[in-house]
Amino acid sequence: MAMTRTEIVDKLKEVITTATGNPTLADKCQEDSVLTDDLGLNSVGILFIVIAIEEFFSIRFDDVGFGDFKRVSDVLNYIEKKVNEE
Amino acid sequence: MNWELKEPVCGDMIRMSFGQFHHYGIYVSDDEVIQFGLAPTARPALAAKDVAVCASNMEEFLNGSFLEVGVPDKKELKKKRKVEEIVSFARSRIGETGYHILYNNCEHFAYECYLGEKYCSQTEDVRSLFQSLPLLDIYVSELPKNGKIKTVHPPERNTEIHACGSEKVRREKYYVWKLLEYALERTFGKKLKKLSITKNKNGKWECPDCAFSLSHSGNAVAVALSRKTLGVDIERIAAVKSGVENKILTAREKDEFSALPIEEKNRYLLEKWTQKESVFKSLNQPVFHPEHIETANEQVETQEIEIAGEKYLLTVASPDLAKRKLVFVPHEKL
Repeated sequence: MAMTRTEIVDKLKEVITTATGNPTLADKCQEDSVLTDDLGLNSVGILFIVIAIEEFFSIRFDDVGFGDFKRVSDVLNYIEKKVNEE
Repeated sequence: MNWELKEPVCGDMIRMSFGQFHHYGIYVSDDEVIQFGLAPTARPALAAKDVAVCASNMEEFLNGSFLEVGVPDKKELKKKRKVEEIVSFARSRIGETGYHILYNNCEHFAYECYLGEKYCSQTEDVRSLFQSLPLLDIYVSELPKNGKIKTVHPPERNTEIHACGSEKVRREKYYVWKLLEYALERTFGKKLKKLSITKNKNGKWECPDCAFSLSHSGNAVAVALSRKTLGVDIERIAAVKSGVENKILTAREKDEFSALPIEEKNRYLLEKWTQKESVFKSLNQPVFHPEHIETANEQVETQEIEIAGEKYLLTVASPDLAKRKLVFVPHEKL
């Protein structure tokens, strides 16, 4: 029952809304959106989202820094790899 | 650790704030503050592999913010290393990498230098916040008419399914479990086969990691997930046998029922039945006594939904009704 990319995108939008408390960010959340420039996330916002993703997707980030994810697609690729690995 | 605005001395654990978070370091002198990476503010953010333990002067550490000095509590005071140990340990780590935003960050480093063990209050606080958020996801699907019944986890559920004499019940029990498997991954990111799911003494399936409730009726299956105990019930809308009101309603409800016009009575009974069953499931009691459950006092919500051309009443009993989210799952996904 692997999660599809679309399902992960929808879930990520929920997580971003929950973590930032800003529902309009989900509308700006496109694959090529830049986390800092397009979504306006600072390092604190990204930290919140990283923890929220861990909690909501039940995954653990192996090795990430504030600058590891530039675009939404980078985050999606990471989640997709983690949630669908056995 | 308590934090005070005061002058630091050699070996102190210090911090500056950025946004809602802090950056931590070990103070040696105004020219030497040892820290795991510089504060990620007003500087380009670095990838984890590029972050290293480094020394900077106080001005660079603070980056325009104000300084706070850690004052250990009694328990921490007992563990606190000697000043020279703190400084030599911190210096010996300069150049070291292995940074992790959640598990090996500047706060972990400072605590390790100061007390000899890693700790990070910030990420734990944020994590606790997310873990306590209310949540109520309800998944419904049509019961697939075809398809082979395969093995499910845990073995006790598998045995229960295959022991059913009725093909219809077997399919209901199997597909509601498949819907649970689907739902657990979508809501909690958890794989059912990795969870410990057992049947309690009241015959209810439960899991220590989350709360769930199952229901099936007609050609529909439903699963509700939350962090708190809950109950879900789905019932196909059909005629209720006369006399049922005497078995399932409380005295107050019987009065309410009597006053209803005839065309509303069936719907009233169905709604009450599904609400009482949801409440019963949420209470985790051994015996169902619908006539004692006054649903007006409970947090329940009923809605009419349509699945495969048939109408159903779907009720959920939960303290998190405000977070209720309904997801229709195509039966091909199960």
